[in-house]
Amino acid sequence: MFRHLAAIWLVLAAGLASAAAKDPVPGSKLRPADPARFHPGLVKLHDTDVREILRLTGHSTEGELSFRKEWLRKIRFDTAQFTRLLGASSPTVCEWTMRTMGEDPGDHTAAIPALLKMARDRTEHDFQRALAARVMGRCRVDAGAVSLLVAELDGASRELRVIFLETIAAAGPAARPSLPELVSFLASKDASAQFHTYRVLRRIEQSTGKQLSPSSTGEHYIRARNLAELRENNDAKAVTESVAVLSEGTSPAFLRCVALLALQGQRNDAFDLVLNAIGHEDEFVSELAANVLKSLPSVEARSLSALAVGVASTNARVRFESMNRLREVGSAATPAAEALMSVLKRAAINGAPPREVGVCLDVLRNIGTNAASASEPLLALLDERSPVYRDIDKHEVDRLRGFIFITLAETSVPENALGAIVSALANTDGIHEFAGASRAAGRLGAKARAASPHLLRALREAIGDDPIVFESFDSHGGLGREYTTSQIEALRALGGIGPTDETTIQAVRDFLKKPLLILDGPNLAQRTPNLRTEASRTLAAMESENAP
Amino acid sequence: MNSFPKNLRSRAWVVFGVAAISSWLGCQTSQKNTAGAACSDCAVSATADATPATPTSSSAFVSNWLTPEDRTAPIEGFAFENQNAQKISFRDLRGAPVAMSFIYTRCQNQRKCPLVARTMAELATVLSATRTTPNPKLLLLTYDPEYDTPEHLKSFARTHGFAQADNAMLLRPEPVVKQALFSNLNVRVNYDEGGVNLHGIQLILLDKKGRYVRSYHGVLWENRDVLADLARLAGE
Repeated sequence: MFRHLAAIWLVLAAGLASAAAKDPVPGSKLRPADPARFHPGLVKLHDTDVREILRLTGHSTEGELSFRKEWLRKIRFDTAQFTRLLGASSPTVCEWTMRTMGEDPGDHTAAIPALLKMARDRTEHDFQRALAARVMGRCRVDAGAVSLLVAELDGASRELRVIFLETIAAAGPAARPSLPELVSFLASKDASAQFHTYRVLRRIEQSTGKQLSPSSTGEHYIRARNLAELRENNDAKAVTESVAVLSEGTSPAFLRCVALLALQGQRNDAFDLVLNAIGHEDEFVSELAANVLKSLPSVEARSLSALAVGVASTNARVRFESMNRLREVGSAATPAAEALMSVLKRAAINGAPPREVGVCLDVLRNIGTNAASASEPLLALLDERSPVYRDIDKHEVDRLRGFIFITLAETSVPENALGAIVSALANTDGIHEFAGASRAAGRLGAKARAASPHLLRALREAIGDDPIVFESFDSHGGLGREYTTSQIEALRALGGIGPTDETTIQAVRDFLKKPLLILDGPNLAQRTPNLRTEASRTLAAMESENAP
Repeated sequence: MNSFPKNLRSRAWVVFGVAAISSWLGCQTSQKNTAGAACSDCAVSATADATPATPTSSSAFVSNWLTPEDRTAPIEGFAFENQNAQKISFRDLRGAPVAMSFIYTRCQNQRKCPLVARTMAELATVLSATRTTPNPKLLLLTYDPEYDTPEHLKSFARTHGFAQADNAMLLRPEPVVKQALFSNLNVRVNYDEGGVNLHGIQLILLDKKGRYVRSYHGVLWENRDVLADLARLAGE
C-alpha cells in the first residue's frame, strides 16, 4: 500500500512540476508537441511495412518478421538509408522513419532535401508535413531550405504554420536572409503567426548577436523586444510597460502577447487588462491570456471587482476564467454574487457548458448563505428541459444535477424546492443527484418531511456503486478528499429532518441491524464517514423530541 | 489506494445482497406503508389495492384543473404511428378523454419508464372495470422515435403488461416534429447525441375535444386520482 501511495505522490509531484513549468504560449495542435520527442514506438508496423523497411535498407526480408520488428527498434540506420526510407510507398514507413530520425543523435543534414520535399508537399497530410519540419529542426538547416519553408507559410494551415515557424527559429542565423519575407508575418491576421514570427526574429538576434534595426522590423517589434528584455532582466518597468501596451488599442497581437507574458506570475493590478485579452477575438491571444491569468499571484481585494466584471462578460471564456480565479477567494467572492446569478440565468436560457455552470456553482458554494438569492435561478436549472443538459451524457447530467442540489443546500433551500427534491429522491438512478437532493432535504429540516420515505430508498437499494466527492465540480476524487455515499447523505438528511413517524424510525433501526459496510481501509476509507456512527446519530435525532 | 474500491465493491455487493433481500421481504409484508409512495416499486400494487392509501399527490406534483372555459385550443398538427405502424393524429383521439404519459424503450431506470408503463397497464385494467363512457384513451408516447420503431414499442408493451386495445396504445411521433410536439406539451425531456439523457415523469390529461386540462409530474401519479379525473372529464 505504501508503495502505491509513494507512486501516487510521485505522479502528483510530477504533474505539479509539469504544470508549473508549462509554457503559457499555446502550441500547435499538430504533433509532436515537443520538438525533441518523437516516440517512434507509437507507430504500429505491419509485416508489409517491415518488409519494405528491410528491402529499402538492403536487408534480407527472409525469416521471422516479429523478430525483425524488435531488431528494427535497436538497429541504427545511416542518413542514406533514412533518405531511401523517406521515399517509401507506405505512409506508415515514412512516419516511422521520421520519428526514428528525430530520436537518432546522428547528423542527418544530408536528408534535408527529402524532408523539405515532404514538408512542402501540399498533397500530404499536415501531420506528416509537421513531422518532416520537426525533424528538420533537429538538423543544420541552411538559408536555402529556410527560404523554401518561408515560402510555404502563406499556404499552410494555422497549426502547420506554427511548426514551420518553430523550425525556422531553430535555424537561427540561417533565417537571417529571409528577414524581409518573415517581417511581413508580423502583420498577419493570424496572431499565432505574428507571435511565432516575433520569436523567429528574436532567435535571429540572439544567434547572430546583432540587434535588428527598426527599419527592417518595424517599431512594434523593437518595443516588444525591449519589453521582453525588461522582463528577462526582472526590471519592474516591465509591468508598467505591459500595462501600457495592453491599454493601447493599436498594439498588434504579437506585442500584446509579449506584454501578457511579461505579466506572467507578477503581482499587479492588471487583472482587467488580462481579462480583456482573454476576450480577444483571436483564439491564440485569448488562450495565452487565460494561461497568464492562471499564473497571476493570489487574488487581492482590488482585483475582485475586475473579476466580478469578468463574470458578467458576454464572452464565455472570460466568464469561465474569472470564476475560476474567484473560486480561490472563498466567501470574499460575495461582491460577484449578482454576476454569478446572471451566469445561471443566462445558462437557463441559452445553455452553457457543464464546466462553466460547475465553476459558477463552486463560487456560489464558497459564498454560502450570502448567495441565498441564487436559489431561484438554481431551481430553474433543475427543470429537465433546461438547455444546460443539452448534448451532455447521462453521467454528466447526474453530476451537474447533484452539484446544483449541493449548491442549494449550501446557499439556501427555499420551500418551493421540495418538489424537485422529492422528485429526484424518488426517481433518479444517479448517485450525485440522489446524494445532492438528500443534502438539500436535510438542510430544509422538518419542512422536508415528505422526502423521508424517498430517503429510505438508499437504505434498501444501491444507488451508485462508488463513493463520490462534492469538493468541487472538477474534482473527481483523490487523496485527502471527503468521500460520501447515497446512504450517508440519506442518513444525514433524515437526521436533519428530525422527529418523524414510527415507520421511518423503524426503517433506520432495521438498517442498523444489518451487517453494515465497515470502511476500515488505511487511506480513502479514513475520509469516508462511518456508516454505523451516522445511522446511530440519525436515529438519535429522529427519536429526540428536541431535534430540529 | 487502488485496492480500496475493489474491497468496497465486494463488501458492498454482500451488504447490498442482504439489503435487497430484506427490502424485497419488506415489500411483500408491507405493501401499504403509511407514507404512500415510500416504496415506489410497490406503487402499482398499492394503487390496485382496494384500501385507500394515504394520498401522496400534493400541489407540487399536480397542476391546477383547468375548467372548460380556461382551456386553450386543442392540440393539432402532429402525426403519430402506433405500435402496429398505423397512422394516428390527435384529431383521431377526440371524442373521449385522454391520459397520456411518456416512455422510451431504452430507458435503464427501473423507477421511470418501466414503472410508468406498468402503472399505465394497471390503469388500463382498472379503467376497463369502471366501464366509463366514453371510454378514455390511454397513450404512451415515446421520447425516442428515432430508435423506437413499432416493433420496439410492441415488445416494450408486452414486457410491461401494457396490453394493446382500442383505447390503449403506444405512439411514436414523427422524429422531425418531436421537439415541437414536446415543447407544445411542456414535456420534460432532454437529449444528447445518443438519444434521451434526462427526462421526468409526467402524465397529461386532455378533454374530449383534445384540449389540455391538467398534468401530473415529478413523482409517479396515483392511478386512483387519474381515474377520478378521467371520470370527471367523461362526464363533461
